[in-house]
Amino acid sequence: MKNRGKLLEQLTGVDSSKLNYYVELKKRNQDVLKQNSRLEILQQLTRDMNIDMSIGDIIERTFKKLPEALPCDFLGLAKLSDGKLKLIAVAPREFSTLGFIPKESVLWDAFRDKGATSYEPADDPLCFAQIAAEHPLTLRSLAAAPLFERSSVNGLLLLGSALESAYEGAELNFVQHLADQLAISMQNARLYKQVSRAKKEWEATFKAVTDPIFLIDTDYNVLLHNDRLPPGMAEMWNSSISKKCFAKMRGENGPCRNCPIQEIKETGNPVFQQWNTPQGECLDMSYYPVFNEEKQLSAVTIIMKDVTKRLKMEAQLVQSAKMVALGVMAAGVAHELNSPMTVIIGTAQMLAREMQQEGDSEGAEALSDIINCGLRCKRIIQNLLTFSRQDQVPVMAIDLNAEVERVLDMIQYQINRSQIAIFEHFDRDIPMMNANGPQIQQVLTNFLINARDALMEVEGKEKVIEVSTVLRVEGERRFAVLSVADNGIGIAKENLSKIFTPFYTSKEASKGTGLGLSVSLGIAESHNGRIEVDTELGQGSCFRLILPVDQQ
Amino acid sequence: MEISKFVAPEIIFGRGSLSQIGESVVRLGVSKVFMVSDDHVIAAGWVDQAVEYLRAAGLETVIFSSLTTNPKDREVTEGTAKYLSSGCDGIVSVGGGSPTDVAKAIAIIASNGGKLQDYEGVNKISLPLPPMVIVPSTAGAGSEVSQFAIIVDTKRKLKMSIISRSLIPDIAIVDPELLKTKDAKLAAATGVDALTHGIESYVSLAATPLTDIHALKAIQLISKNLRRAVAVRSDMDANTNMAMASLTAGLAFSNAILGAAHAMTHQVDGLLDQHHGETNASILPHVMRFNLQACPERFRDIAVAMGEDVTGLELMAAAERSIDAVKALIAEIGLDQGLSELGLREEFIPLLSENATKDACLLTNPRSATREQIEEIYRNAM
Repeated sequence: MKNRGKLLEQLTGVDSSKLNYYVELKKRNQDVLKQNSRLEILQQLTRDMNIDMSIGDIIERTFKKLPEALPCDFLGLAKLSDGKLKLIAVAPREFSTLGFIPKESVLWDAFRDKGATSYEPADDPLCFAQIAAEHPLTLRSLAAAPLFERSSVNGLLLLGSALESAYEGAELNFVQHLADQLAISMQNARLYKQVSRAKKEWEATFKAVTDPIFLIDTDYNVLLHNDRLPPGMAEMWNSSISKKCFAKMRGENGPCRNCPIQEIKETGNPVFQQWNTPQGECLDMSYYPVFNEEKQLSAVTIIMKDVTKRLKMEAQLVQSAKMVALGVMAAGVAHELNSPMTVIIGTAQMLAREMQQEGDSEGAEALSDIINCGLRCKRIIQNLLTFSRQDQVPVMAIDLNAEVERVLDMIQYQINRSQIAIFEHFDRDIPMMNANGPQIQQVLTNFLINARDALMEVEGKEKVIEVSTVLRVEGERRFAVLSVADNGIGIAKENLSKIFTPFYTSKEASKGTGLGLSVSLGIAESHNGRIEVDTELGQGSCFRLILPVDQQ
Repeated sequence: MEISKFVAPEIIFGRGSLSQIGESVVRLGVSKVFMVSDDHVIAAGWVDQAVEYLRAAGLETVIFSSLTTNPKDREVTEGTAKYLSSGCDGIVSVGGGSPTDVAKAIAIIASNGGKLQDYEGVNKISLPLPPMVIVPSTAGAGSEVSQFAIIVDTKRKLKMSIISRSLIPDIAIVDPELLKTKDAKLAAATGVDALTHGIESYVSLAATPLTDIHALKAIQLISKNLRRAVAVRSDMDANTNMAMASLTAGLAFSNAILGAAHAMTHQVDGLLDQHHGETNASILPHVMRFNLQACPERFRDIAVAMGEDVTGLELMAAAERSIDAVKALIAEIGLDQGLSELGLREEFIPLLSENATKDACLLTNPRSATREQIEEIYRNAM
């Protein structure tokens, strides 16, 4: 029997003792508690680590917390790039000048073994070639743990302690856990940056679109919009407490009639709608369905396009095309009528002269009527010819009163035929002004026709249209004001805002196109002028074309 | 050795102390009991009683009883599997040396893993064992208080001695009532086993005054009561004394260890599957003779303890009386047979001797024995 003494000692000696279940349990409990507190610190570290932190900050913060969990007088992080291991962060800062870890250093072992390893730095002068020689502390133990990204190693976490054998067993395990945690944190930070950049790009794109875009869920809640509300909507939008689209956009208490979202829910297809807002804007609304991963409708994107201007332009084009057509026709007719009228008047004048000589006063009077009416016809023909040439007529000095008279000459008869009296008040002091005469005529024609239509339904009182011109001075600027007032039905308040909207009309389809006022406004604006409306329901309306006399 | 240590479990002794089993197990924090026993003990009704006491204490019991005399390693494997799948968290044995040692062996594997052979020898157990309560039903093995577990390695056909302080049970409940149901031969064999424990630990190199008291007390009680206990098994005075003798012998040998007799009988038992007490009876006097010169004073003490009158005798003569007394006792209880009568053949002796030299029990034998010397003792005992 070898080791007789030792065996005897084990059999009977004082050191041999029964292993106690409870002592062992307590020991394990202590281990568990220690492990717990380490995990706690690990967790706290993870929680502390801000996604925006730099690696240097992370190392600094970790270094502050770490001594609670295990001995640590030095913490460093090295990254692998191009096959070189470079220290990129250390704590405390003065411990080391950052640099490369020589390939011959034992530190590379952890790298090659893919697991935390502990070293005695004294064995390897190379492993801390970077340490500032003047630092008061001598590291007696060192641990290195590889930083993993997926399965490959891309760096090294280094811990140093002035204690000997500070990193054995459980401690070394913890070092690896710490390294894994740091690797994850750094990876998270990087991923977060990528994601947030993508998000920012997307948001910038979203915001850059000048048309309003809304994202609305299937329950009508506005999820997102790009802050490009149409001017007319902003007030209602901002004052609405509700998140629902119908409340924010239209001030309604429930889904709008013919709500496109409802239609999308049923068909899953995009829907297009045009919406004339109460503020007089005309909006193209495109509703696009947004589907989730299960191919179910999750939201609706609305893109609004303000087409008011475009519509106005279109209206003007239509109107002027019509005018051109009308002009061509009128010019033709006028031209054709011009010759016979010349003959009629000429002949009538010759006859009248003969009758005067013969003393036939009765016949001469009748002929005088013929001549007057013929002359009037000629003037109308002349006006028609002028009117038909409007496109070719550039802006030139005009006499506003003369233009008004021309229109009245042409149209008065028609209006009088409707038992409507026209009163004229001309301000003869209005100076010559630069304008497109035919266009001004067009505006006045519109005003007059609207006034006539407003009077058509009036019963039981004298129907009057007053046409007046006035020179108005505002500050240093002079304006010529051409107004047409009627005592007709007037315009309801809620419709007032819409009257300049292209294709808006209160008239029957056969009577109005809904273009007149919008075209008139366009003409006023092209002359740097404006149109004012006063109206009272049942009492009548007054439309004023206000044009600057002195062009800037 | 100037500093010594005496280790013993909590011991509950007395007639009817089986009733304490529930309370004891609860005190150890056990919630479900794994009970190791054997069919004889179950047939005698002791297991039912124990289970009833456990149930009264609110404990559920799983019983494992597929055991033979001289417990085998495969029985331990089977028992461990059953223990681990039973959800039990404490081990109780009710029975003789076999159930007790199997209970200990199951405890080892259950908490330390591996196979039993890994723990053969001294101090190989590294993790604490589940709580253990041992109720002996024989008066001899002393395992209820000892740091020994002896299990047969069926491949090598020898008894493995597993010795560790961890094997000392937490609580030993020694109830003499249980001895009533043994048969005469078992009573005799276990008695001789206890006597061997007493004698070997008294002459052991590791004996201390504390172990001496127990050893001598055991020898004394056995000399006075074994004959009666074998003859009339219902004699409760004899049974109580034999239970105490076995207990004190156990305390003595657990702390002082044993000697050559056990080192040798372990080999024979493993080979022949013979009852341990009977082989002891064949070998003990011859080992005593071999050891006599190493410590004659001690043998004289043994002679005195066995009631021999040694007044006026020279030391060696007085010491010789101990062998006479042992031989006489063995003869009277009918175990005076040679190893050949037990079935041992001459050709096994070299192998047995070789194995015996490796047995830890030989460490504390008062006279160091070579292989050749052991061979000779075997031959003498044939």
